[in-house]
Amino acid sequence: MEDLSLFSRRDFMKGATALGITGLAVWSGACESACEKIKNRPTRRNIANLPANDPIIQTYKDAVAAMKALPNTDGRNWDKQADIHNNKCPHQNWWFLPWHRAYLANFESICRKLTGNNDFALPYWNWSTSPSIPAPFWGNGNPLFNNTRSATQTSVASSLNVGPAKITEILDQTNFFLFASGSATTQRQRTSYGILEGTPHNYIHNFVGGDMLTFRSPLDPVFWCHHNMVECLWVEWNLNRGNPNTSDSAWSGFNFTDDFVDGDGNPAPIQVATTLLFPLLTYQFEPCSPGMAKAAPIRDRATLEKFLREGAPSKLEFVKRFELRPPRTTDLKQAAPVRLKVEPEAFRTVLDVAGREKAVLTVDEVEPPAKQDVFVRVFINKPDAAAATPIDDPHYAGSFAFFCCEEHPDIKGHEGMTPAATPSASASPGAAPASTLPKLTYLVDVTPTIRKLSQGGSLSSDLDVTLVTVPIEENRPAETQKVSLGRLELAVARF
Amino acid sequence: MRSSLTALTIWALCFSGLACGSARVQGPQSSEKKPAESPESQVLMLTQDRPSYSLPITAVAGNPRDAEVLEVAITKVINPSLIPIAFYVYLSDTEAGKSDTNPHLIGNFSLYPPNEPGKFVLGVTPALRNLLLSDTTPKGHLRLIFEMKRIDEDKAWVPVEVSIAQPAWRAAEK
Repeated sequence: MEDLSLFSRRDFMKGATALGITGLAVWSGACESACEKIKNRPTRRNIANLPANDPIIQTYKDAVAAMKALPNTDGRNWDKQADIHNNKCPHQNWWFLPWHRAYLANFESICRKLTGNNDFALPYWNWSTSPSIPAPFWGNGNPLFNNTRSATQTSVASSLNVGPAKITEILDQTNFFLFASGSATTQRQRTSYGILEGTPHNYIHNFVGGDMLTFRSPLDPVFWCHHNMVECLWVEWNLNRGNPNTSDSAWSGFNFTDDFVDGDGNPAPIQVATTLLFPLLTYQFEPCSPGMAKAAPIRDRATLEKFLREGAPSKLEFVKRFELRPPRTTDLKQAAPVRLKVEPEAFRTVLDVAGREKAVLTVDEVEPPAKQDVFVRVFINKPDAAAATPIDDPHYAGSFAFFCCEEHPDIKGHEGMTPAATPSASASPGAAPASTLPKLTYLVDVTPTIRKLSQGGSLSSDLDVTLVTVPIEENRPAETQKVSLGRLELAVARF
Repeated sequence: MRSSLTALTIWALCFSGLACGSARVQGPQSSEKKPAESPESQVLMLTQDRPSYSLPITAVAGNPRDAEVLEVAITKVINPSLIPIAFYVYLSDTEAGKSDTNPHLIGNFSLYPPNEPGKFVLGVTPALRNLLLSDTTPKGHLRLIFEMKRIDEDKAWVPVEVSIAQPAWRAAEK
């Protein structure tokens, strides 16, 4: 497991911004309780390294058996999961990787929910180093066995297609499209195969045979572990080796709207930009590639920063801007409401779920307090919001925080939509003593909240944005009493 | 992009009749058989009885000098048994009709599902570029070899037919 202390909370905030504001919302909205979970996020392990009686394998068996026993009216049912792939999977285009990432993450969530094992992490089949279908997938009566396979227990995958030399060749590819398949405009448009999909991925489907030959391949439990290996290689290529994904916002802004179900069987729409955070926040990998010496999906701070800053999307076009009269400070546990008169027409395009425009709140020139023991919650049209207002309130839009406390004199402006952090010239009068950290900029995607309020009929022409500063730890008083803010701006942005 | 696609389409249409006319279903071939040789600008057709094909390097569209990829488009697949197959593309530095014991592997890939066409972009490595552009390499000797193999070679061939469009040197998408 990597040492997360290498990366300050601010890095994650800035990084999430670079990745896309939807990702930011996911991160910031959960920032109060996520730290420990992130540090201890489950490790997806090489199934070859697990003894037959390992709890991971047993949980996987139990989960598959439970999914097969569910009625077919339940989206988590085994056949229904295969239907998702059959009806929705993108292949031969650039959404192949993020779609399958989200598909696996939801599947993993279902496994946890159905077995009660919340530590479960889907194992992967490293066909590069273990070129036969692993032992846990064999045996009559075994939920992980599939009798349609043409490969036998002794069949060996061709090293020309999946061996270490091929993996090295794949990971040495620096062009996203050659690595990850070609650009497309619709989810199932077939354009061109990148080497990862076209060679080892496709080969293994053919090698296993039977159900794996078709788009109903998830009927074979080995499918999930096969794709987990593909996922691990993407993580290695992108995060560890610092190869940037495409910066085309048509890729990162794409929504998988009606594809997945979560652990409870509820619809789980997701944007590609959000999936980019998964391996940073929700799971990590045991090494899966030659030369990947330790289980650190992020080698060092510089690599992460490079990835986050250069990662997609790097472009965000602001279509309309509405500057808010800012509060100078937000006092601890006190609401700091600001009001803006916005014509409802201004948000018409944002309300279109299928559209590419989002409402973004920019909180600029924020002075990080000396003691970074608070975070700031953002509410829309809730001027009476307070520290006690729950974050499942429909007006809650997200929060931002000031993780960790190190000085970063080397922080420079970076490309993309986030303005450069600027040195703090002086603390604002009335604010808490500020640290010498540069001023910061935060973006919060308020689109889901605005849509929710619009659907509920409570989006008026006067838009309130309310900021509430609360202690990070509910039961520990914060030393910080005020946070000094600069400019606030609400904008409609196109991805 | 559009003009090149149009050109490719026109090119493919020109030879589609030839391609269809050559479709035959025969028994397994001997692995000793030499690759069939395709004249320039003929669409490639791989079948279970002729799973290997070669064509002169000059038949590849585009200029290898600045190319970053070799684009290989499988345009049509008839594989009713869904026999698992893999494809290998080699550069052979040998005169036509003679065997090359050590061809340069440019790339390899598979179809998924195995009856679904697809376009593959194979990276041009520095070694390949050197081979292509070297003054000491007689260009007339260079041929591309396309080979289709069963993934489970213990199983007999069944009828399968794969059409490949004119390969092309291209810049990579960015």
